[in-house]
Amino acid sequence: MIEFKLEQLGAGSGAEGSSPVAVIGIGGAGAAVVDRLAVEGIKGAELASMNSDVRALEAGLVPWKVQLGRMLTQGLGCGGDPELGEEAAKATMEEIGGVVAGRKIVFLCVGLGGGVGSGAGPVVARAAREAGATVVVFASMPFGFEGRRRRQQAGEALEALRGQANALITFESDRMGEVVLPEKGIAGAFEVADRTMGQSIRAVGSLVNQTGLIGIGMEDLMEALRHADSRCLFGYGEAEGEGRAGRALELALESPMVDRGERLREARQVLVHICGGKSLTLFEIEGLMKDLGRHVGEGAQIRFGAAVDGSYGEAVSVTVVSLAGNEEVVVEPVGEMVRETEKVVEEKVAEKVEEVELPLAEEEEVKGVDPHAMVPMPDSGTITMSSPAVILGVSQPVAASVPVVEKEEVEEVVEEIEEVVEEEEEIEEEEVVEVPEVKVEELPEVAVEEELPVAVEEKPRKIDLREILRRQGGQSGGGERQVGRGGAGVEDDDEPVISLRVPEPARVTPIRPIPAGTPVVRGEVPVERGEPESGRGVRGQAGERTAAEQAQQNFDDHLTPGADARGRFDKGEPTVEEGENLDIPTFLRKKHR
Amino acid sequence: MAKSSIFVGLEIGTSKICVVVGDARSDGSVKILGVGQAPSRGVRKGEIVDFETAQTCLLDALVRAEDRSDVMIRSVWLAITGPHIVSCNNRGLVRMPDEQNEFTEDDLEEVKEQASNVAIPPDNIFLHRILRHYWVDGQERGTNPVGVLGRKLEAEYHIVHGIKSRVQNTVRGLRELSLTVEDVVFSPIAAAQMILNREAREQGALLMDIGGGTTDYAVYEDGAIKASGSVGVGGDHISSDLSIVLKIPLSRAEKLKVEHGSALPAEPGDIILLPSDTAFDGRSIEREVLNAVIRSRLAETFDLVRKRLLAQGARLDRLVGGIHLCGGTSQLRGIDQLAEEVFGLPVQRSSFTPMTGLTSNFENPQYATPIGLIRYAQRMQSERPGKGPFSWLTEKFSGLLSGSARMW
Repeated sequence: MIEFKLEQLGAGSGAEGSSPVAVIGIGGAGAAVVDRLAVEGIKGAELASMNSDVRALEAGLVPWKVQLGRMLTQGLGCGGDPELGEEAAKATMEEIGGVVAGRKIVFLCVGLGGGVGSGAGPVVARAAREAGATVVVFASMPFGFEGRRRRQQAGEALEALRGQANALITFESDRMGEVVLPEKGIAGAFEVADRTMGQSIRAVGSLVNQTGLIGIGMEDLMEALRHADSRCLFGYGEAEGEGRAGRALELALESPMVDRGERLREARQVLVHICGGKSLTLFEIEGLMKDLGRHVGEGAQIRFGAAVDGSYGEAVSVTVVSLAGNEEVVVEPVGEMVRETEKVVEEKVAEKVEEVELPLAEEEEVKGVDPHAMVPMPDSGTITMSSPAVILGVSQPVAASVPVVEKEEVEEVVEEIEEVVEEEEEIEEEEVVEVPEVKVEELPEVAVEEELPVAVEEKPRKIDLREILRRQGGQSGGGERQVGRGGAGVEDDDEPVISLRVPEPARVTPIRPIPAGTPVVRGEVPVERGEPESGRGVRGQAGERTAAEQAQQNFDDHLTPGADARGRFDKGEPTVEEGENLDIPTFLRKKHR
Repeated sequence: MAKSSIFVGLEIGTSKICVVVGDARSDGSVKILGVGQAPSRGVRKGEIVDFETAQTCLLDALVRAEDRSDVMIRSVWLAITGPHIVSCNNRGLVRMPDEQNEFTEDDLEEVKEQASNVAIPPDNIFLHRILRHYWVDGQERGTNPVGVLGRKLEAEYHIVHGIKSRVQNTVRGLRELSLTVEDVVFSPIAAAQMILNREAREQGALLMDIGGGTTDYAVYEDGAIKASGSVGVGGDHISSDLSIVLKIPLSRAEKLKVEHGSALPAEPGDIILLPSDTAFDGRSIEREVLNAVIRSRLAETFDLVRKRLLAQGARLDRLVGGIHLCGGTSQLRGIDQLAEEVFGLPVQRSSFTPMTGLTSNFENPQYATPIGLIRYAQRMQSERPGKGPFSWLTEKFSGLLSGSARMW
């Protein structure tokens, strides 16, 4: 018998049991998804995997591993038998309870059709619900080529899960496989399936966790998914670069779940979450929402959220969550799922109840600017429940703190964000203004010459004119910088440039009527040039010097820029590119490079 | 005789104001009826800073053009430039609803709107939205997609935008001279009409218009414009550099640049004597220094353009059509070799394709932009629905009836 001790590997998520969010992968497929999440990193959630197969469990990268049915399967898999999987899970209830205890949200990822996922999934879901967590299940349906039996098992498991989960997001592996190139083969197809699931878990996680400009909470998600049949449409897209918002939405709509956006048309509730880095613009959001509006049916309610997350960098992500709204669609979902007629009837009844309630709730919410207004979750009976524990989990009141947005109202909301964004920009500007002052004050203390350019380097990327000028001062020659350091440049706060550029006395060649380099001229040169590195005299030794030296000499002669180095462009707006004032002759700027 | 219409192209450049009256024929040639030119003042880096002064020069140029062409100029096509003008490419996407599977004009318009969803600064306006390519269901289609069956229509547009007030000021200034501005065209796009022929555009080519105050560029790839922009550095900077470095008056520097300047490195020892003059003592200048000043400036400018092009995603190694230089500064000695060094592409100074009339005088790359404007105008007129050649005819007639000899 193989014993597998519960162990914690790696520094992964650090404090186990502390995070209110847990992501649990059950069975082989589920573990693959959480492994992916572990590799790519997920913020604010703990990862756990559960399996009865010890070898598979051991291979996993997730810190928290639970072996199911230790005595029952003796460390082996369930052999595709859901009943065995269920038994195994039930035999390990204590450890499962340990994983789900104290969680607010539990994401379960299961691959249906096999033994562990199909059998243990519903058990874990129930345990999580009993522990008071909101359970969102990400289930992947088997590929078509996996055979009818697995499909049937998956269908049954899905029914069981539907009873337990607050929200159920189903992935058709066949559909996900479509996006893979045919020659990629099965490994590629599975990988895409895992990745899609991983992305959506991450997206839903950030959707409910991120405090955004306009937040979307778990309650919004639940509201959007409040339906007898908790199978939902899910689209996620991420893009960066040119036209990223449009492409992200396109990807989201093209995601296998949404059926290329067609299904959204029938949806009554659409939840959209846009997340991007600091560069996310209002304009993008506006355009994106406009674009989305064309894919959503007339009467649909759009719940809209936006968040700025520094970790996104230049990327923008769009998450679209909706319900397969119409009964017809529900009955004939993405795959040809086997479904008992009884259930359908039950759902239809439940839907009717919901339809009556919905308008009321909407009215309250739209007016409900008061963030404390509480809209009680409709009778939990509307969700097809099979256990009392479920009712327990749902009966919590739901705060309507986020205004529900009608399609037409999106623009208003967008205007609100505009204000917020503007405020933020103002703050940023203020910060930038302060910087140069600080640096100038530092100068006298930093008496070491070499440190001046370093200080310049450290400045923020936002470059102001003064800094550019100062930098040029710094570039135009070591000797000159020395003079600036002498104190004169420091006192003059407004124009540090000019003092920095005061030429070194030894090099002053006031107005040199005839440049050096020709014997005729040389005799007339009144001031002898300083030649720091060589002790050689200049006069009469032109023949000995190499051409390069001479060229250097000639250039030096001309390096006496006045304060008006910009010449005729002095009064105009300077042309600044990459921190260089292009109005100053390149010859002078690049001289010492 | 081919159908013709007369257009006036106006370029208010940093060094000169140029008005070209041309007869654009449907076979693509332009017959130059008259050119009016005047040195411009009050213009810096391609933008008017002192309108009153510039106005005087402009009037001068206009009167000359009217005299030579015998055409009363009432409306012009205006070329503008300036470092504030920037460009980007953006894609629009329209998905067909279920019940419709044929693209209509409305869809085209919508895809254009989609593509225009670019975050431009609030002070900016769109100058151009030029269609680059269409894709129907992911498949590229160069021609008009109206009437084509498909589910998804994508279009990529080249979008050029600039600061609104600066563009408007110029237009308003022209209005004060009772001139109507038909359209505002970004200079390199106008110049490209003239300089890059179809083959060059297909192969991929870079146009650089190195004028007095700005260096404007436009890249064409696969027959469509890929990137365009303007760097606020031009021939004036070279003169200014020479004046600063050599400590000679600006006018002397300008003259020196034209007469002796070269972008190629010179051997040390060669001396150029500047003769003395009132308020100028005469000077001898070393050619090596002169060339080094010019060379460093131009090399930097080219490098800036190169960096910008790379940032805009242009694939320089694919520009088989090479680099075409135009603008006054492109006449500088050795500039082609320097450009070749920086870009690693074959360079040619441009001469024009078919043009009749006073051709010989205007085979000068300085006139590429105003003549290009005429070509552009012709192209726009033929594309603009409802304003075909006939409407021009009636306008002409109405002009005759009202007693004025206006052609427009």
